Amino acid sequence: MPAGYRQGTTPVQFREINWIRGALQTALALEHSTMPLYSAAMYSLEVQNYPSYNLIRSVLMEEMLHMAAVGNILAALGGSPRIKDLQPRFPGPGLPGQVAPDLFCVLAPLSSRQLQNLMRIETPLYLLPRRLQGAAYATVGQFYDAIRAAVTANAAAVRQAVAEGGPANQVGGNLGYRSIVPRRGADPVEEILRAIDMITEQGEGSGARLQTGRDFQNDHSHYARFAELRYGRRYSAPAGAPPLTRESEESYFRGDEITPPVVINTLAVPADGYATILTGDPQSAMVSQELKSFDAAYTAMMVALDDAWKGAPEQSWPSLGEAVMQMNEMRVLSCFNIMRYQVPPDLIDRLATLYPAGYQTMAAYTDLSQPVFYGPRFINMAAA
Amino acid sequence: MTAIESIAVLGYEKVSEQDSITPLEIFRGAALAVTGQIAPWQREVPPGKLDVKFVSVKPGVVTMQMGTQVVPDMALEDGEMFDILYVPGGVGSGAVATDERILNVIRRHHEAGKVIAANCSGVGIITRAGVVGDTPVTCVAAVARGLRSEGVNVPAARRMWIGRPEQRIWTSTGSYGVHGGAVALVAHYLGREIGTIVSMMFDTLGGLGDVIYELTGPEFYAHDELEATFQDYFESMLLPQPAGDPERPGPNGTSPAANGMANGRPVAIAAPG
Repeated sequence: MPAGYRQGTTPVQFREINWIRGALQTALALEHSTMPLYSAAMYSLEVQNYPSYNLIRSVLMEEMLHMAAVGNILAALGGSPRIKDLQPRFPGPGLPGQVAPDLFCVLAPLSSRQLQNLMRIETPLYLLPRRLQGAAYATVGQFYDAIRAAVTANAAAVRQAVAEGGPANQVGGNLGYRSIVPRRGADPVEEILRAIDMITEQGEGSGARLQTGRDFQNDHSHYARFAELRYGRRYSAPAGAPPLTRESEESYFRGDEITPPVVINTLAVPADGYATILTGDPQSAMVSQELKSFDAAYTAMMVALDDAWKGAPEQSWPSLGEAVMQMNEMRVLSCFNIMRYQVPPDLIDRLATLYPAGYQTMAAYTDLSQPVFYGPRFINMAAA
Repeated sequence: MTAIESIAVLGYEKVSEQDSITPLEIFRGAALAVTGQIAPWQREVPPGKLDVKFVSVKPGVVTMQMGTQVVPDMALEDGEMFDILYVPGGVGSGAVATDERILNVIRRHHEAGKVIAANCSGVGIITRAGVVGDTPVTCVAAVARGLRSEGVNVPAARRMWIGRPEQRIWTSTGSYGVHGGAVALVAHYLGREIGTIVSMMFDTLGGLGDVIYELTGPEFYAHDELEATFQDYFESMLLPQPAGDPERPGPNGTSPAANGMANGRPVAIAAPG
């Protein structure tokens, strides 16, 4: 079977330059879909400085770099990244591209259970239970393997596409984002493959290690960073380390202790974005206003990012700046506004009646025996 | 790269059924694949958008050359644009080739960077619009001689289709080649995967093979004497001389007939599609 080909997916002989562009748009959606999940967990931490917060934030920052790299590759190949109409479905199964179909994605506070989900997103194939490995794209890395294989197989067309260029901008090259521009002596195919290596190594690690390669300073992978939080210990490979397997994994996390953070007990966001609950909440008007303000900032960020790639070149930099400002606004609106509002206890008591289909999920990700608060919904109002 | 999200097939009085409805169905089949309504396998490419419309330049029913009546999806408004404007052939093409409003629609699209496609005698319409230049094109045999005499680059060995993405011109022969030409256009502009799905839906891949992924289709047989006979017969109707131009002599000295006449006889039958 050709490299990168998974049974039941697009036959490899049809994976030419158009397919690569389309798959990159899916990769863009894939990268983006992780960020609301990571952000919701990060926002739920009471202290926004301690190691737990900084670990999640460091992953989030790299996910932004990954999304930017994908957008730049797509733009280099003549495509136009579509960002403002991205709207991942929460709660819901799997990631865009039907990646990790066994995963159930829900916007929820940090918890051991949610950390398992976050780790699942970044799991390298060799640490995935065998029963889950049969999916077309069981891991994010496998999806990128397919793109990598297509780029290699269509190297001449890729080089030609980069030489011809396209209407979209390269964004953030002066911030260290991976950008792909024709340069004398540089092979764009190699540059694209290196950018994809960055994404997969930072996410899942390099080879059978939970670290990146030297090019990325042997940093801990995203999987390892989430595992540190789950095990409550820093990554520290044991002396005479046994082969890293699912069974031996915990022995790799016996470094310094990470004290469990204080978590704001937000209610896992139901499919209706709290609409049912809000109808019974006496503070509905104020809560709705805060939720909408957050969604407006999120939407503005998506629109600004879209504009950074697709707007006038001279507006690209200001648009990126606008997006960053909205990111900060989102954090403030979530942590200082939305999460101040407690969901009335009587409504929590009636949650199973109010949400017969979604109750189990909410109860699994939120401690319903404790005071419960609202959390951000991440509704992109610019999406169709 | 030209991103294709909309295609219009232009309808007009006495347009050929095969030349217009065949590509329309192929493009709508492509739209089903692009939007994810047909997905024979798990696609990595996210569902996209492809709006396919049968358009006319004026409101109302379009009566085709064999009498089929079709209600267009819309009448073109000034300023309306499609990423691909497809101009079919048909008995009515001669009249359309002198219709400045339609010619302006074609010019406007090409000037805006859109793709102009045509088949059969519709190729004469787009040449009259002045968007072809020296780009090699193909067309139905009945107008090939006339187009060559006007300086249009119609290679002697006609091909089923000729795509020239750099010039944004895509042409096909008469009805027999319309199907292959439309599928090849889909494969080029919407990608090999969509082209393959469409070609499997309509059996094109089995009939033509991998040439559907090429910019130039299979070579047609040449029948010089027969072609000349049919050119004499249809040319004045399908490709009338522009007003004020000197008469284009026929190969055996005959003069082109008035519109609707061929060699002095009224042309009541449909042109070869």
